[in-house]
Amino acid sequence: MSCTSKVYVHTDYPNGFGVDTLNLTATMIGPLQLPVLPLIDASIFNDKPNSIASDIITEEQKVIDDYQSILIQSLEQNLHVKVIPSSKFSSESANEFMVRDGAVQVANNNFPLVLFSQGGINVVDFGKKKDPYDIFKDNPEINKNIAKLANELHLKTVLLSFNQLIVTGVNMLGIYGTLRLESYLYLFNKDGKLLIDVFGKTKSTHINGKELSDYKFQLDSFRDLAEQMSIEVKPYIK
Amino acid sequence: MKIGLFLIIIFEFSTLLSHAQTKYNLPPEKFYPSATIGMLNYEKIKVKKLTIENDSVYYTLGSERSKKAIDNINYIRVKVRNAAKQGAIIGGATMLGLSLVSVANVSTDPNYKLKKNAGITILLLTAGGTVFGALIGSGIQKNKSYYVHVSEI
Repeated sequence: MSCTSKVYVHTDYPNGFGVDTLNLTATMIGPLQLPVLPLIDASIFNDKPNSIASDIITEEQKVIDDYQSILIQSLEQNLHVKVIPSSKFSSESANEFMVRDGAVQVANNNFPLVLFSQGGINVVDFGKKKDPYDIFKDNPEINKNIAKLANELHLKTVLLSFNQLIVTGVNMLGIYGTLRLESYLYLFNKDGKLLIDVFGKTKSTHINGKELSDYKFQLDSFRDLAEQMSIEVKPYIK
Repeated sequence: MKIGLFLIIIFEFSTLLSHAQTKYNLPPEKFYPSATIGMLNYEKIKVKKLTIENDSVYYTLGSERSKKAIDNINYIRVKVRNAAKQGAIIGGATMLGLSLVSVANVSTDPNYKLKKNAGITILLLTAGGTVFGALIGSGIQKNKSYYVHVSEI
């Protein structure tokens, strides 16, 4: 099953950079993003995923640790680097930064969690921000927090993986919507400078909104997406 | 008088302490006529007459009254009244949209002329729609999930 659509890589280092170890501080799954417009159509549609929100989150809770394993395997095989998850950081002080109970809460009635893989470290105040670019890329706070974390845990690189299901549009009267899985990789150096960011998205599928299997289908496509993203990053890792 | 004041202070202090000791992220009310409980083992139970106490919840399932330790619960999903904001947005946007469509129709029809106070009328209609929407919305119950082990922001 391959439904990967596109992967975009952005870096200020077109000739690549030398890295032998990637310290994966967190693999996250953010809240399902639902459309706001068109107002009436979106409102009608959104009631359907909202009514099974807990079931969707449960499915995400089931796969979050698998996402981390898949990502590590994919990166190691394609980039020939060592990927160390935060649960295996050698520094004893790593425990202090780890997210308790596998999630942090965000302001959302139906999808109130950002899920973290086991031992995941959170370096950001999610607040009311929804767009991953606002959260991880154009956010000076995160550069500062990562530099501090890297210094305290003696890390040369910090890698973050953020994933989310997103309904990108709905049709008239919200009868159908289009759903895809989005995945973001952010690699920072020890000073908190963003070295590379990768965005991957699966091919959208039409959904009626109330079938859990539609969401599971997209969640299950992460393996292909991670593989595609790893391949696209390969030219930049020396 | 002094004894009364002392008792009030003790009561306030114990109330404060009991809130401080709450280690779970729980719904605000102690009783809900219906709810959904998701267990940490991913079992989902739709229950009636949910009562939330310190470390346990009590509920009716069929005709049986049962109990679960909150330690074993993943989430509690209940109905809360909080759609005022959405109602205000929908009400305001609808009235603004209708007003603007009317203005557009009048402006393009040579048989009609736009009144000078049209702006104020639109403003009042939009404000009225916002208030009306907020009132309707505040009466609508929405589901909200509480993941009991995740700290409140």
